[in-house]
Parts: sequence; C-alpha cells; structure tokens
Amino acid sequence: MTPKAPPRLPELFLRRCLSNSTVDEIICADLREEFFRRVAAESNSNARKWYWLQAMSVATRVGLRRVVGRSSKNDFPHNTPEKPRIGNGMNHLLQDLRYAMRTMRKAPGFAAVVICTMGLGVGANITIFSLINEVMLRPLPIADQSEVMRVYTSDFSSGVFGGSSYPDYMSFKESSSFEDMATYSFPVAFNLGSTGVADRVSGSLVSGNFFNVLGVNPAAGRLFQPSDDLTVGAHPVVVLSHGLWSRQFASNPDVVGENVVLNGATYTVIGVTADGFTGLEIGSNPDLFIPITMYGTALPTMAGRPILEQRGARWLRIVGRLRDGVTQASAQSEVTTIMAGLAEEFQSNMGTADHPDEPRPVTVLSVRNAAFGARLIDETADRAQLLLSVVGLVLLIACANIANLLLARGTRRQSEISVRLAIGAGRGRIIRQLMTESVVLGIAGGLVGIGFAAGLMQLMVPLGLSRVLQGALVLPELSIDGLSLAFAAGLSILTALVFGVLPALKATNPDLVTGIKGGVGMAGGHTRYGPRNGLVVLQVAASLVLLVAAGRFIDNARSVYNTDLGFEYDGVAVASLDVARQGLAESEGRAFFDQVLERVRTIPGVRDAAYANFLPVSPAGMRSSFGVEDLDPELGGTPEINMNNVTPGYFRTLGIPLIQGRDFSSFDTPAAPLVVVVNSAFAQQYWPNEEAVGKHLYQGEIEFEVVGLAGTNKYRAVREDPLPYLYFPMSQSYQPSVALAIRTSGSEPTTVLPAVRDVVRQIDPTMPVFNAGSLRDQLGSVLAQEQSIAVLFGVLGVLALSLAAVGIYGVMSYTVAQRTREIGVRSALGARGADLVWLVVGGSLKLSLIGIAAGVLASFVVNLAFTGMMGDVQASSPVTFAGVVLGLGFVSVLASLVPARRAASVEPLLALRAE
Amino acid sequence: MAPKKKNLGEFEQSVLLAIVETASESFAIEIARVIETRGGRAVSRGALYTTLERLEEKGCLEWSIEEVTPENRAVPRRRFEITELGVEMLRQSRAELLNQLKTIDSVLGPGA
Repeated sequence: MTPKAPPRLPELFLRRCLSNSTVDEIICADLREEFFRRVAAESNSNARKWYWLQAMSVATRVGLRRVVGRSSKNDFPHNTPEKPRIGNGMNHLLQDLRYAMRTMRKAPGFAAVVICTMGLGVGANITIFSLINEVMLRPLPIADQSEVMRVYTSDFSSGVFGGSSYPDYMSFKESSSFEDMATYSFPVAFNLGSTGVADRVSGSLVSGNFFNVLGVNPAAGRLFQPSDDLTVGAHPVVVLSHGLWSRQFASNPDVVGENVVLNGATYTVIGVTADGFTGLEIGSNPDLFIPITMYGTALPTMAGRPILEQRGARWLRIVGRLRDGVTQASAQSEVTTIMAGLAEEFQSNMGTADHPDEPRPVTVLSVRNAAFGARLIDETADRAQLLLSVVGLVLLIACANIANLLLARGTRRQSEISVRLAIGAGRGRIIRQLMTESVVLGIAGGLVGIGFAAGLMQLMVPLGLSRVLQGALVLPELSIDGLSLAFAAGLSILTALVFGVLPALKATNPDLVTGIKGGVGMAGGHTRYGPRNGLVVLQVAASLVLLVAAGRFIDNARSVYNTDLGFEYDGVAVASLDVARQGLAESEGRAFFDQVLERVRTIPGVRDAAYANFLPVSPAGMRSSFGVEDLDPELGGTPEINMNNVTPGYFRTLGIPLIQGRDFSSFDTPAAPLVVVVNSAFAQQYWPNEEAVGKHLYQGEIEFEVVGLAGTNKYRAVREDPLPYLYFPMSQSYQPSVALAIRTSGSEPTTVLPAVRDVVRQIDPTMPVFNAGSLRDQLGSVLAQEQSIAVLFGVLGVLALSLAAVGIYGVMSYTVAQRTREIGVRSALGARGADLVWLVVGGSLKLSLIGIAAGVLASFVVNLAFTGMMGDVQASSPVTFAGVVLGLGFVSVLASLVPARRAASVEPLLALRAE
Repeated sequence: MAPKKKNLGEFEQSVLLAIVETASESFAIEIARVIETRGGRAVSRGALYTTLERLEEKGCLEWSIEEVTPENRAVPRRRFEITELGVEMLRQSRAELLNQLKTIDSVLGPGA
C-alpha cells in the first residue's frame, strides 16, 4: 500500500497555528516524517490517528507559546519574526517591501542606474502622452460634444474640409437631422481701442444661435441670441472671450454695457464667455465674437456687399447639434441630398476641377475630430501614433536594459535565493519577493520619469517641439494632468512587472546544487547568457529602427530647407499694415500706403519695397473663379485660381523672375484696361506651347489682359506642387490690409524696421505695425514643424543609442567577469592581450551584427509603414542607412572596449585562484 | 541574561538523557523514540517540543540546523546538544534523586 499524505485538516490547522519560521517548518516536517514511518511500520489508519493526535497537541501547546510571545531565541538568522499565520498576506507584503528597500540600499549604484534608465523611458512616454492628451483627448468646453457635428463643403480641388456659404448654411439648417445649426467665421484680425494705438486682437463672426448650439454659458452678462443677427449692420454688440476679458479688462464685470471701438466702429459689450471656451479650432482662439450680420466691420472690403446672399461665397464654418437618436451617417446622407437638390438649382453648387458635373461633396464630421484644423486630422492622428510608437520603442530599449541588469543581479544573488529555496521557501514566495523589488524600482523610476517629463515639457515649449502635432498653429500649453499621471502610474507598474518576470523566473529556477555552491558554470555559460544576449540583440535592432527613422526625418527637414522656393528670401524685411481697421476710407488708405512706400524707399539700406496681400510661403490665401481664354466655359472652363494683389516692384523685391512681358506700373490705374500677370505653372496648364502674354481672363463681363509671365514659386506650402497663380495690380483693386516687403542691401534686414515704424508713426501715429520681422524668420515658422520632428527624433535616437550602448557595455562586462577564469587559462597558455581583446570585442560585434540584421529587416517594414502614413516624407537614403549601421557597429565596439581591456589585463594566477 | 537555575522536571530529565544517549543522532524524532522505548509509553509531541524549547530557555541545550545536501535528505533537521549547564543540572538531579532514595531506605528499610 502506498503511503498517503498526512490528513489535510490537522496539517492545515497546525500550519495556521505555527509561524513560518524555520523552526516551525522543521517541526511540521518532523511530524510528516514520523507519519510516513508509522504508515510503513504499522497501518495507515493507525498512522492517521497518531498524526491527528500529535498535530493537535503540537498546534495547541507550541502554538500557544508562539502567541504568548515566547519563542526560540536561536532561530535561523535569515528568517522572519515568528507570528501566527493569521493575517500573513499583509505581513508578507510589508516584509517584501522592507526587504526590497534594504536590497536597494545595499546596491545603490544598481538601483540608481535602473531608476534613471526607467525614468528616461517613462518620462519620454509621459511627455508625448501629455502632448497627445492636450491636443486630441481633452474634451472641448462645450455641452454634450458627442452630438455636435461640423459640416464642410468641398469643390473637389482641395480636400474635403472647405467652407460653406451663408445661403447654403440656411439650406442645411432645414435638415431634420439637426436640432439646430450655427455658423461662424475663422478668426479675423481686429484693431481694438478707441484713440491712440490700437491693439491687434482676433475675433470671430458668429450667428446669433452659435452659443446656444454649443451650450456655452456666460461668465458675465449674456451671450448672443438669435435676435442679435437679424439685420445687416444693425447689431453693434460684442461678446468678449474670457481670455481677453481677464487680460485687457482685468476681469471687471462692469465692462458689460460699456462701449469699445472695433476697427473704428463703436460696439457695446454684452457679455463674456465662460472660462475655458476658446472656440472650436484648437490653436486659433478668438478674442471676441460679433454677430455675423456685422461683417462690414470685420471685413472692411466686404462692407456694403451682399456676401450673406452670395451662394458662391464659401467663407463660413458650420456646426450643428444632432437631434436625439440621429446618427452621423444619417445626417451625412441628408445633407448630401440637400446639396444635390441645391446643385440642380444653382450652378455654383456644382463641383469644379475635374468634377464639373457633380454636386459639391458635403462632409459631416464630429466636432472632436475636426477640432484641430480640419486638414490636419489624419496627419495629426498619424503623427500621434508615430510618436507613441517611437517613445514606446525607447521604453522597450530601456526595459531590455533593466531586464538585463536584473538578470545579472539575479545571477549574483543565486546562492542567496538557493539557500532560501532549500530551507523550504516556496518558489512562488521568492518570485513574489523579486517582483516586489521590481515594482518598487518601477515606482521610483516612474517618479523620476514624471520629473524628467516636467523638465522635458519646459524644454519643448521654447524649442517649439509641441508643434509636431499641429502644423504652424498656436502651441498648446503642456502640463501633467490627472490622466497623464494615471498613464504614468500604469505604465511604470506594467513596465516593472514585464521587466521583472523573466529575471524572477530565471533566478528561482531550482538548480539548487550549483546555486548553493555559488558557482556559475564556465563552459556552460552560453545557456546562461541566452536571454541576456537576446535582449542585447533586441536593443540593437530597436535602436537601429529608431535611428533610421530619425535619419529619415532629419534628411527630410534638410531637403525642405534645400528646396528652391522660387524667390530670394534673404535680405527681405516684412511688416503688415491694416488701414480699414483704423477706419480709413479707400482714398485715405491709398494716400497713406503711397506715402509710406515712398518714404520707406528713401530709408538708407533699402533697395526696393512693395506691397502684397500675401507673402510666400503662407497658408493664408485668396482664390477666385476665372474664365480662361481658349477654354470652353461649358467644359468647366471657370477654374478657381489662387491669386494675390501686389504693387509695382513686387517681383523685383522678392527676386521672382519676370520671364516675359512687363511688371505693373503707375499707368495701371483703375481707369486703364485691367491687367494681370500669370505664373509659368498657369501658362503651362492652360496655354501650353502658346504665348501667355496678350491672352485674356474673364470674370463675368470683366476682362483682364495678361501683361506679364512670372516664375512659379512656392506660395502656400514648401512641399506643394507647382500651383497656377495670378497677380493683380493693387492699384486696380484696393486692398486695405497689406504686407510690406522691403529688400535691403545689408545682411540683417530687420535693422531697417525701426525706421519703417518711424515713417508710419510720422504719417499716422495711431496706426499699428504688426508681424514685423525678416522673411527668413517667418519662413522659419513654416519650416519649424519639419525641424521639430527632426529634432525630436534626433533626441530620441540619441537616447536609444546611449541606452543600447549601456546595454552592450553591461552584458560584455558581465561576460568578462564570468569568464575571468577561462580568460586566465587562455592567458596562462600564452594568449596575447590582442587575442583577449578580440575575444570580447568579437563577441560584442557578433551580437550587434545579429541585432543590426534584425533591425535592417524591421526598418524596411517600418519604412513601408511610414510611407503609407506620411506619403510626403521621402524614404531614407542609402547613405543614412549605411551611416546608422556603421554608427551602431562603432558604438558596440566602443561599449565593449572597456570590458575587453579589463579582460586583457587579467592576471593568470589571480584568475585561476578566483574560483 | 544568565539562565535561571531551576530544578529539572521528570520529563525534562528524560529528554536530556535521551539527547545524551542518541549522541550524534539527536534529532527530535530520535529523542521521542528513545523516550518511548525506554519508558514504554507514548510521548506527546506537543509536550516534547515545548519541553525542548523550555530546556533551551533554561540554557540546558543548544541546537543547530543540519546542512541539507542532495545526498542526505530534502528537509533540514535540528540537531540538539546538551550544554555543560545541562550536564550539571542532570548531575544535580541525580544527587537529589539519590538523596530521596536514601530517605526512602531509612524510612522503609533497605530492599523494601
């Protein structure tokens, strides 16, 4: 009969009553042993009876001694205070924590390296997460935002996120899918102030129900009602944003009811928006709101023109709140049907470009997704994903490092762990202990990471790095909020668990004999380094992927810098003027501009100067439909073309080549025949192989004669394809808001700006001069996003490289330490120093080469993914690729040199005695 | 702290004697077996272990943990050793016992 185990019940009772000290473990073991002897000598039932009796007697008598506090003084030193087992879970946790703190204190260098490595990895992740949280996750300050949709109209020519006209808005408003719908304009510039120098602020034109639809409340006074936008020009009332109210009016509630001067007209302040409401487009925060019927004030050139009745004037944004139970998809199909009906009735609602026979597409999109400048949605989400993957990769490398360090330490602690296993500690118990140590390290690393992230955010703002997600829009303020903290905590603990598991499992692998002897196999070493080598390979591969990506973005930023923009930006100073907003009529404005230009040209160092509506490269622009000579209007012959209004000398000032014909001149007066200069891309597209000069463009009955052909430059974006472009003389089309471009002879164009300000002040002391600077700097802000991404990737790449170097160094040092004896033997048998150095460096190179091979494969996959994600970012050049591979190889050699030198200097005798 | 000098009880004497008898094999299980064989009655393990601890507190014995090696056994054991104080107290018990015997002889007569 096979001996059975002792009866479970008394055994459990016994264990409950005794402590988990070694002495009590031995007592339990003794009883078990006697039980089995009795099973063998007598019978099973006798043995069970005996065990029941004795277990109870020991449990009560010895257990009582434990509770009343008398204990064996001579207990095994490494074990724990003897307490009854009741409530042991908490007790164990506290013990584990205490023990973990003690181990950290015993090896402060190790702890510091692990905590800092982890801090770097976690910190980078928190920073990027906070950025994404700020831009994409934080809810907009409007009520029930999931019901709020935006409606866009497109003409097929440029993305789906176009504006809509007021008549179209009124038609969409009939839709039964929406409870209500409001419209608003992009923020436009206002001069705010009565006399003296006005402040430049931005404001949005909104329909009377705008705040009702969004569910925004007033902080003071009241917000607009539908009755505030009934009649054009009849509602001079303004709502201030909370920001402007606190900045300019010291949050004084008495400002409600007061008058302010906007662009020279008097308005009454009726209220202030709630704190936190910054409009619907992140980064373009309007300072104030006026009713849409007051567009004459906001857009002086439109004053008196019926733009609210023009179906083709698509300058407005639409936002609507869905009725209960209506989905985005059904709203989409309803507005599409409405648009189809409109297109049958109105030619202007048909598409342009390649789709003249189709109604313009309408897109319904949730306001959340549309919040940061519609064009950027997909790009932003992709960038966010990209950034998260990149910092995730950095964290992975950091984790590989930490796991490596823990593995090495686990090996060093092998004999301690083996002894504890041998005297009866369960494997689970020891794994739990080791995991507790990991989590303590993880939490410490997380704290360091939060500090690191806070510092990184401070750095990101001046470097403009937060722009990576948002194009050239306003930079978001970065802060660590509750969500970011939760993210940090989750990430640290998860990381700790992940990097702690492998070393814990490995360290408790019960190979007790070798463990207790404190020996670490020599020849069998390879299996022991297995996971560590794997981790180094992983690190090298991950670093390579990151560096190749970094190289790709740096290449890209460089290529953007080297792009020929088609004009000469060095030596050009710029400044903006806006006379309409100071209340100047057209004749006064013309006189003012002429005077300023005349005097600016006489400033020493100024070679030329001219005005334009827009200077390149700027996303702002104007476009309009034109009939083109020789192009059949029936076949979609009225394309929308980007255009600009400039004064004579503009091409000279910016160094844009005039290929044929003439520049504008003072003879191009409003009374003279209307003229236009086209660019080469326009000529190529509409009159290929023909002389452009002498042809005509039409707008209704109006005819423009082409008098010149200018070179094509970059107008709205550095990476744009050649864009057809038209220039009109400002003398034939008055523009009250202009940019002044000044070509200087010096290398630092901004030195003329004080003189320019003086000139303006002499002519009109109240006129603000804004956006003054050098054209190069203004281009810089356009290029900044490319640069930001390149810098960010560069920093992360260097971080990854250093972590990988530390990893290689760690593994090689460890290997050398483990192989001291072998190296000693080799040295004693006559190996030269160089051979020994090669032994180590070669080992490191081998690992690196495997890692590089894996990384190259992964990079190809990642490159493909990038190309899908950001089509406009070119593939990595072979030079970058080769550079990264060589660089990594070099770093791995460098990282193994120190351990290699140590190996070469091993004294054979000492080494042989070392075991 | 100096151990208290206190007389040994009968069971304590048996345990100390068993330790002396088992010599190098003086583990708890052996001690119990010796006592049981000699006395012809079952020994309560609860009594045995508390007595061992009491004797330790009195300074009569010491113990050490037997090294575990793969060749001997899986579970460690405690090996008990009597101290000099233990031997002295055992002798003292013997003297007392002899004294008592003399008294019995003088009252009841030798060989009673």
